[in-house]
Amino acid sequence: MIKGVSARTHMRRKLFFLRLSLWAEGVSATIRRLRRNKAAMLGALVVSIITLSAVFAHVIAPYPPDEMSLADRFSPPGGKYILGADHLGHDVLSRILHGARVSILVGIITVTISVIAGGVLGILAGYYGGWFDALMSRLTEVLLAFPYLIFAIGAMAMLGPGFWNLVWALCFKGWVEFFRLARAGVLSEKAKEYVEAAKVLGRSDLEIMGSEILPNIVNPLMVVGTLRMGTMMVMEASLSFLGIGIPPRIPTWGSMIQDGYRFILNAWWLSTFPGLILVALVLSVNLVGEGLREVLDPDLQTF
Amino acid sequence: MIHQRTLWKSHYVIFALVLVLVALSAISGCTREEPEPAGQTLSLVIDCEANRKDEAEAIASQLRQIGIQAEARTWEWSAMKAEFMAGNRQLYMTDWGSSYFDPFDLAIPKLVTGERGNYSFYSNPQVDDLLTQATSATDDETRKALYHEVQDIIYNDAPWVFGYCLEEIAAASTKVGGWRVSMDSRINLHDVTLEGSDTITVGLGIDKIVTLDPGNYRDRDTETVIRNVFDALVTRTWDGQVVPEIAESWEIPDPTTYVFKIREGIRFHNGEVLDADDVIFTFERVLEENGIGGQTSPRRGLLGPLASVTKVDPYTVSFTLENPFPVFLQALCHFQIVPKDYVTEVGDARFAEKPVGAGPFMFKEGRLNDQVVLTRFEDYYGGSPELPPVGPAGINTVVFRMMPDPATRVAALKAGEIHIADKLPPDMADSLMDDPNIKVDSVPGTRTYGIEFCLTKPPFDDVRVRQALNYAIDWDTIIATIYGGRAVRLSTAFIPSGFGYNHDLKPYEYNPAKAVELLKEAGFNVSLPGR
Amino acid sequence: MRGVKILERALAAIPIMLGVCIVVFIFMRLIPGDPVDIMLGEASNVTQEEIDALRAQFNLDEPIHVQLTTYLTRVLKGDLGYSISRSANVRDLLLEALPATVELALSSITLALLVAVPLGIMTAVRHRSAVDRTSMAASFLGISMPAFWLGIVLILIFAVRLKWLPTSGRATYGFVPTHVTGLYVLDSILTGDVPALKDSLRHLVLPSIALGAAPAAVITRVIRSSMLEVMRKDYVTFARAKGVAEWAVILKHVFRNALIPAVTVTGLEIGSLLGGNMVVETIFGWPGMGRLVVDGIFSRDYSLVQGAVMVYGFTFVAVNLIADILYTWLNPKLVIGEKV
Repeated sequence: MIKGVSARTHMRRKLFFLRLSLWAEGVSATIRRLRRNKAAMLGALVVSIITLSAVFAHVIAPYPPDEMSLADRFSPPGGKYILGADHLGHDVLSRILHGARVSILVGIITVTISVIAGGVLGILAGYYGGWFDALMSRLTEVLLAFPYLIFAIGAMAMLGPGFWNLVWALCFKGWVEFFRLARAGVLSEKAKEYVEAAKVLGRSDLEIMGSEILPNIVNPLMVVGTLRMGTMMVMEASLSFLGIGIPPRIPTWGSMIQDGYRFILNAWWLSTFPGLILVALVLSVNLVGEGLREVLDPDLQTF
Repeated sequence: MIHQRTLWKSHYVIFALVLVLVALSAISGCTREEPEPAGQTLSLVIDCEANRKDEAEAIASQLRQIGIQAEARTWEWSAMKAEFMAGNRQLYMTDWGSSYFDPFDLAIPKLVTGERGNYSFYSNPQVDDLLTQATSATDDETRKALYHEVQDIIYNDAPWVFGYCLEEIAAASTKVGGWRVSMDSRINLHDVTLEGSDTITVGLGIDKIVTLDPGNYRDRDTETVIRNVFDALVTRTWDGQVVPEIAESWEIPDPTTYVFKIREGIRFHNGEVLDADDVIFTFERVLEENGIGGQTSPRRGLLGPLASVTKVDPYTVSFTLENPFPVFLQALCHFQIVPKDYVTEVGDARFAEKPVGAGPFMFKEGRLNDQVVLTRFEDYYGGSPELPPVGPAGINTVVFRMMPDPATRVAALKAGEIHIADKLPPDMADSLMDDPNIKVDSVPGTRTYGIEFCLTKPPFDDVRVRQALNYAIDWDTIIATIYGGRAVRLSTAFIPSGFGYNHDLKPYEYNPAKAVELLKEAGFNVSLPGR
Repeated sequence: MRGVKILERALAAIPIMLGVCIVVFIFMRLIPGDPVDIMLGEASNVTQEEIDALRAQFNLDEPIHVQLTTYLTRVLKGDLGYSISRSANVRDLLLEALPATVELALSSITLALLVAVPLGIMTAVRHRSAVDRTSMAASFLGISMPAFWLGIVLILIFAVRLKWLPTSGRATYGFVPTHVTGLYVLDSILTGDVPALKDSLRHLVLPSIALGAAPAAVITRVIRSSMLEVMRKDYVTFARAKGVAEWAVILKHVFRNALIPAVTVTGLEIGSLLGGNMVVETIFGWPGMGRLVVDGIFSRDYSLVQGAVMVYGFTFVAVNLIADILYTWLNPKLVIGEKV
């Protein structure tokens, strides 16, 4: 025991570590159980491979992604370029590797922002209720009635091109689902005895929300969040396909598929390979998400 | 402390750490770090629309070779325009079309101070003055001299990176006879024949046409369809010469008066006889404020200084201009004659739904965003005698299909679903060249493509920087590869198909050494590759 | 009692629609770009008076709240305004495009159900068999495959290489059936036009597969998992013990009770099919709502986008309401409004 620290604070600290370790225990148990799920492990493996090759893209890619040699346009796969060269003489493989960064980052960042924003707002709305809840619920209902892609196209037109603008455009509507999940979770937890007990014990609202309710509703958020990463990657590809995504110097799979679509009659490899890798990544992320669902929240209706 | 040990043992922390590391390193990889050289670096963003992003990327890559930090950015057109019109961008790829075969509708909107199309904010009183003179001068030699002078001035001022003029490319099945691409992008189906079928299907490169009322549109694609249903007083050969159509002949007694003799015996599709009243009605409808269904025709501005149209006799009309307007005949090619009695009787809205003209085909059915079907008009007067064959059209039925996606058009043409595919990108045209059942045709286009500088802000307020960029881009390679060689390099903003183009003025050559020299003079840190 | 609840839900849709209307109205005006400027294109020698006249004609010169009030009043009267970019009434444009989108959505969902129902039953009955595993793997692929990429691959294989099916469009010229409902398949059946029926079906195949793959996968999974759940229930064991034939147990007891979530999911999938296929519509040149609205956004055609998004919003609200009603109808123990 350290001098000057009151017993109460010490207890709190101990309690905090206890809780944290319980949580960590839970997480490691989850991972142990997840390990038995072969499909999920395969998914995790593929995701890790793609992620690692994205991180070390500048090392393993045979060419810089923006190096073009116009003389080599449309070189077929094999030979100098393993997966062929595109319409500007870029190496398709190098661009796929670098493009993975964008897809993965868009998936992780948009989902993280959406989960945090939607989760926090949802807990607050569910816990306090009242006008804030009513307002937010109406707002989400209105937003849900917009088709996602149209909303994102409009947002991109408003914000202009760029990586972060794309992230914001996707988050504009992305948080809504997590808001609704969190709010529904809070509503069903709030009625339970332990919350009542905590209230009677005089614990603050913030503490109750953070340390009592949150751990009990975090599972569905994690599961749906993982699954939505795949959705976000496809959305990014769709926007890039429509030509309003990320500037061309950063290769993205969506814009590569779109470029390839323009030359579909004379160079099949341009859109086939990025499409395949996109499918592989989304599929793997979904496998992990589905594995998580089976472990964490078997009753959750995901797809 | 059991808890803490468990905590550190758990896989989660490691997993989370790895995840964070991965995310961070990936982020840092995305926002690439480049060593900042000493001195002033020139960093540029080239803005473009999606259809020119390949070119933009190639240009950025060439500029990077001499040490300019250049990057391309794709925009959606209206957002990009709003940004550069607010002066927020540096250099932006734009293009502008001319439909009069005269710099009148190209140089004025693009280069005169404060005009609508002057995206570079170029302002040179001398150019303004010369162009105004050239618009109203009556003598061709004088006008030519004036235009040449303008070209010399803007060549040196370099308000843009001068670009190129793309060829218009289209392809057709070999079964189609008598077809060729026209410089004004008209698809004249009257002169076309088709082997083995009496229905010809044309794949248009747009997703919709605007209307079927010749008084109510402003775009070329709509005109493509309309000009097969309606005829005008005069028309053009494929290379831009004005020839009579509904008019039999014309006289220009003085620079502000044009007198047309109308061919007798022309009938509209509903049997109505075409005479001076219909011609006058057609133009008054456009001139008058709120003249079409309570709205002013968007074509009003195209008539320039036209003041009035009067009847001389039942088959002669006289046009009076406020001031000389040398491109007036060219303008008249775009004003199709409508039947006065029919339009007054059914009203403008109904007329747009069931249009009646005096052209080679009658409107049958269709929707503007899907397909429009026309059938042959058996009593057609024959069209311009200068454009054989003369007589009713060679084909029974015409279908215009809206196919905005070029790959779709090409695939449909290969599959025999359509017979003519309009507006093909050069790379796709190449893939069709090998197909024995398809012929590809092209003509020099009427659009100028370039990159405009924002002249009001550094670094492009310095003429040396502007000239340097003109030297720094290897257009010939770009044209040869990205545009399949189907483009002509331009010396200025003017295009060769227009009146008064100076063929002796040579485009800026590709000279990176000179570019580096000019940029160094202007105080930028650049260097030739390998040094 | 239930009727009242339904009515309540229906009434709750009104503020949502109003909200949709206001949000899209403001949203469109936040996007930079001037509709009149876009409309004029490359028109040269346009005077400021002409521009002002056009602005006044489309009420763009008024303050935004006045524009909004004017717009809302008009919408209440059933007037969705005039489309600047297409020179036509928005209502007419939507009435033209909507049947195309509806037809594609319905045919995709039909295709999805044709695959999903038998497959879902089979995988549940043969739980953990090779069939089950393969189908589950395939369903994951279906969920993960972006529809637009699937569309490109389908065009490449079946239209370009094999030339079995058309590349794009809704109908070949001359095969458009007489207009009754605007749904070509239905119209050609109603008018007994066999060639037109064949033609429109041929055009529907590829886009329907591209769009139907994901819903097929989702519905298969839902049917499978809910059937597995029901099969564990006592009454199923009881029925089996009573000696009821196995197929009768599966179809009568299990499948019927497993239907509820499947119906809900199908409803939601129809809703999302009606709302989210503009990329696929672009690829297949399908003259539907998606292309209309994307084009409207790019040409800053305020009235058109507003009208189209209101249709989307209305469809979404209606589909949800119907799914809710069906849900309670199939499962009388639940009360509407309690479902999360």
